[in-house]
Amino acid sequence: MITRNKSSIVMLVISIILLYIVFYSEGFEELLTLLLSRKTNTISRTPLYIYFFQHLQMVIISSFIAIIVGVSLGIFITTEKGEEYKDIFLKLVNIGQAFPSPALLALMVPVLGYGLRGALIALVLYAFMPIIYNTVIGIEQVSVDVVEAAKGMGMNNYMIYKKIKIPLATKVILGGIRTATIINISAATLAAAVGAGGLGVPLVNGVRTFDMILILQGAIPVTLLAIITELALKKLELRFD
Amino acid sequence: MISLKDVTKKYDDFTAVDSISMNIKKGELMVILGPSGCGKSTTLRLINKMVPLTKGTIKVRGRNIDDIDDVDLRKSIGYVIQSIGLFPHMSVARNIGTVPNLLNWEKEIIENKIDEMLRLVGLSPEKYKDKKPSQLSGGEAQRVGVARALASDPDIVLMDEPFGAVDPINRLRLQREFRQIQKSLNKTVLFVTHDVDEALLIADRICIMDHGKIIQIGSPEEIVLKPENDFVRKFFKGEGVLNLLSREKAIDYLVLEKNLEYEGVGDLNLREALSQLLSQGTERLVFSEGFLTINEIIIALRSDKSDYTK
Repeated sequence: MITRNKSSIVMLVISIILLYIVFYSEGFEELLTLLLSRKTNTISRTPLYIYFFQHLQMVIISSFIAIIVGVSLGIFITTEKGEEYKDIFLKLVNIGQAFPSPALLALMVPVLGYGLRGALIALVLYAFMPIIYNTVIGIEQVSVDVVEAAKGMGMNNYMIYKKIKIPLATKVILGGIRTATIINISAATLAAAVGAGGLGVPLVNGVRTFDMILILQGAIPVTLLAIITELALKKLELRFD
Repeated sequence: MISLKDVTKKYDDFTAVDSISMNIKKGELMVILGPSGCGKSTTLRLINKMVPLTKGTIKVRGRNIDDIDDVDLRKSIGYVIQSIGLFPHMSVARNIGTVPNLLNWEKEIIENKIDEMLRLVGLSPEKYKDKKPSQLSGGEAQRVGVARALASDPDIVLMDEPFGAVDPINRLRLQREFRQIQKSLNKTVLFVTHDVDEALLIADRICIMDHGKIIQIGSPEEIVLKPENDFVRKFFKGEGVLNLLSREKAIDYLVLEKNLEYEGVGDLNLREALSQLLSQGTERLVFSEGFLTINEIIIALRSDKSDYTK
């Protein structure tokens, strides 16, 4: 109970800091200037909160699609009908994960052009692995005895999934969703390279011009967002213990 | 109630069940007894179509199971497995309510049934309803497993070593209670076990299996006193007679005479009575209702009480 309350307080504090940084970016910039005792060279920029919302939008949309499609696919390949595709799918997803993310994004450009679409598809593909993997593992770890009992009592396959397998796999599936979302929050910074915006924009610009303050203005909100998401989803998972 | 005719189950080259036939009558508790791998569990699982039949016919309530939908058949038959398989994410109440829910019973009726079932297996509804399976002891979980199998009031119950994972003291209690429940509700039960004591304690009839074949079917008395061959004889290690005695209540065999200065016989069974005779070194045990000697015990063994043998 104590640890749960603690994580709520931590979440609240970090959220306040994040909101402060995003909506009062001038103040944040001044603070960084003071701390690093150097000034940023870039003047007149898009406000940070616009990048933040672009970032948030990318993460939410890509994670949402990845969860819907990934969980469905994961469930499908554990069924009798989908079993034959299981190995191929898991291998493909694994290879997809090993493929460097900047390269994956760059490859989207010639196919889909610059902009949000390419970035979203790359992010969805990236989020697939932990989601599909955990869905399969979560469902397969359900005890054979429990499934046998359910079947023996007259549940059909649909019922067994709905009432037994999926509820018992929820915690593991949520773990996959958490990993995928965190990966996406960080990977979405690369979307700036294909012109999809997001917190990657100040970051990439900062790297290009050796502007420390600009880099931190992109990187710190991303990190804080990742921490909040991690804590929130972890809390959700604990409910399924 | 259940009839098997020339039933065979093959897995590739391995014959798990080899052309067996038997009839189980309404209200009868038939035990299939045999060493592991003898095909007893497979036989059970053939009846509720958990495994498909290779050859032969199985009829349940007079209907060929090939003509009944798998799911409908299973809903109509209670089923308990050794590992119980309680659903860990559901409360005890929801576990017991599983089949009534599948059958779309009304909520209120299900609730009442859950309480009734918990009381039947000796657990207080108030205390156990909301518990999760992980909070139950082995014996309690087994009781809930039995309650779950009986909740929809099926006339047939299949049980695969249901008390196998319980400690000996609780097992004996569960066995006795289960036999009472079975008799009072008049359920037809097919019960699989490798435990000789268990079989002799609860069975109306015993079917001994080995290597997929039926070796002998008969009442416990027949099996113990007239074993068909050495396999059956060895199975009981020469102690079957003692197990038979534990089925019989001493009060049924007393030579009646009033001895008011002695204590009542209570629900002492003949095995315990024999043990008392031996340990006291006396010739007769005297109770307020009457007395017992070694002769009455021998007579008890020689009389054939089974209703199901003929």
